[in-house]
Amino acid sequence: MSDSYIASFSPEILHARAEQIFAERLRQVHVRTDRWFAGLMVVQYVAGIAVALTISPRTWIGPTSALHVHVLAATLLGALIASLPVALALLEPGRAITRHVVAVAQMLFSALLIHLTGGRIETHFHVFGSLAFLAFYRDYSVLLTATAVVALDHWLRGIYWPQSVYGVLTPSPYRWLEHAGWVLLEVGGLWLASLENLKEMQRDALQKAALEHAHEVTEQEVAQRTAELARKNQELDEFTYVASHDLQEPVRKLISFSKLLEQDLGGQLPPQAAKDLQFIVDAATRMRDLIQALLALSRTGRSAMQLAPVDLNTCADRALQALELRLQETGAEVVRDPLPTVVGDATLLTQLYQNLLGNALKFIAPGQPPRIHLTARQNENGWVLGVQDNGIGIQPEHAERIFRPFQRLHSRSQYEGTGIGLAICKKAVERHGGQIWVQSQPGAGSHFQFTLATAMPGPDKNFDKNLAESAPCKPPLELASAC
Amino acid sequence: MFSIASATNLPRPARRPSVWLGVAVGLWAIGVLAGLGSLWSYALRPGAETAAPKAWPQASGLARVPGRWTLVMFLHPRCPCSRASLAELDKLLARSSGVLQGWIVAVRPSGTHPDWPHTAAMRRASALTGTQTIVDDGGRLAGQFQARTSGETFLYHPAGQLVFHGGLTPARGHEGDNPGSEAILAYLRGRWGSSITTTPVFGCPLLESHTPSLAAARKPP
Repeated sequence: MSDSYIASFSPEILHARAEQIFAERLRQVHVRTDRWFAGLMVVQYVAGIAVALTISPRTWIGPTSALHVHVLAATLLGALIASLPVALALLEPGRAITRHVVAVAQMLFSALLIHLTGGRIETHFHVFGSLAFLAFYRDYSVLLTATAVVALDHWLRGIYWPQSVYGVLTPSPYRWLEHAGWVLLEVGGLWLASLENLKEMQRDALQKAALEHAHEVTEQEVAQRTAELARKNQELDEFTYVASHDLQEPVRKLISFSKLLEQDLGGQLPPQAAKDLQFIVDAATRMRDLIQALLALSRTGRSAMQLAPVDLNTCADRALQALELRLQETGAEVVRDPLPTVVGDATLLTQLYQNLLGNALKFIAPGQPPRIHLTARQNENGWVLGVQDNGIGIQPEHAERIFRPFQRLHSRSQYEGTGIGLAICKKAVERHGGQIWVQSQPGAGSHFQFTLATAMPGPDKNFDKNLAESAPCKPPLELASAC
Repeated sequence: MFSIASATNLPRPARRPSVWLGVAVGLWAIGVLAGLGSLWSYALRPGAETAAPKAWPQASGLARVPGRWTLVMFLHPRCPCSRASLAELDKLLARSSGVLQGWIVAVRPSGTHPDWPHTAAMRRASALTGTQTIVDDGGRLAGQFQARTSGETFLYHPAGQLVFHGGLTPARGHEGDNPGSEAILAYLRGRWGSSITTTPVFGCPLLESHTPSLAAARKPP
């Protein structure tokens, strides 16, 4: 993200949010590091006991022996040292007191382990390793606390037991400063590294704040544009409805007066003129059919949904009744899975079944009676329903196109229709929050499937009440012809 | 960019009162200090003080090469502190440029198995260059040198008189710089101005009769 983009936001708001993000991340770092140290304390405790048992398991007086003080110290004193930091890391993670206690305890563990290994120079590296671990807190005051413990230890022992720390009986009173100085050197380096890390966290926080802001702005823009799009769609629907409604009247007159003209003139028309007049009547009739289909599509998208529990068996029965004549003509066999009760608009769902069944009865394969299967299966989101036939099928590449209005795969001379039926199906399913698709191969039949939820999100507050009583499936008032 | 300090000082959710926490930290600090104090007190508790023979005890049977410095270190083979004494002796031998003849005496108390002194510490002692290791059955040699504590070391001048007597570790079982090694090196390098002739010995009593309390009881009033 560019700096100029960040600079375009209100600096006060951006920095306030960035401060919040930074503080939260730093708190997470403190909590995480507290927990790491809780684990490390336990490991050091066990290691201390193992060291004591290995190096000095027993103390001797001549031929007799007893448990060595180091084993007791590793067990009891080690437990005491580890107890408070572990408890605080678990109970009060992220607090300043916790990490300072951890720093003190870590340095005390260094002292204990050095003691248990007999003051080996190698064990002194535990001090420097511990400082590196403490730097994970990215808090310089924690490093200073650890340094203070080292300095105090050397200063006090230099006064009271100088040989235990410096190996001489009369050391310089300032020798502790040399030891503390080396520790401070490492602390300085670690602090510089921590500071760089904190600055990096700062930059990240600022970028995240800017990103959040940009996200909010984008979401607002998307919402605004979606609302605008919806408004324009609504306007377009209204225009379609009004235009098709108003076009009906002149087309109706065109057909009527063409027929009147034919009656008036009777047999006086020359054969060619009679043929031309018939062309006019046919074209006007086709135009009327198209306008009515367009109106049906528009109504499907505009009509108020009356959501109620709907038994799809009833809807399918109604649709089959409407198509009974065609069923008899074709000798079709219809089977069905048990269809569920869903929440939806009974009229739209009946129309959906009627259009899909009409399609199956129209595009039948030559020489074989149609076999239609009304399918139903349940998945985790609701129901997948369908109408499967043994008809002529379609090429898979046309699977999406056929759901668009006025899209035809065959000429009118082969199969009648307006090319609007599947567009109505798509709109009906989408108004129920579902999806529709087709699986088909030429010569292998088609399986139109659609999804319906068992419950509909939406403004219908009386959903539960409606469930008690299924709505009757009414046949659509005006059915569009199948595609 | 905002300041790190201001971000870290942002108000946090209210915490429970911290009285119990203060008490816990206080008790913990006292307990830990007491524990560490006890540990150091134990580590710095020396063995019994003894009056070492001022002249080379001829009856010991240990060979002393006339004209060379002779060092004798008594060890309890099983005492964990012996490890640190040997480490310091090793460093001393490395810095003494071969002018030192050393004896390491492993004291075996009466009634113990002959294999009792054969420990890792004594194997390390045998590996040191410029020294010879022997086993002192029943503490006869320890008695002649008046040695009471593991790590007790005696340095004899080429002329045969004792110049230093004490330990080579700064505390029980602890390696590191120590006044004993520094004093011996000073003598070997001819710096006779060194006033240190004895240092405390930190280690296990060589024999049961060598515990500090018993030794103190034996002292004449």
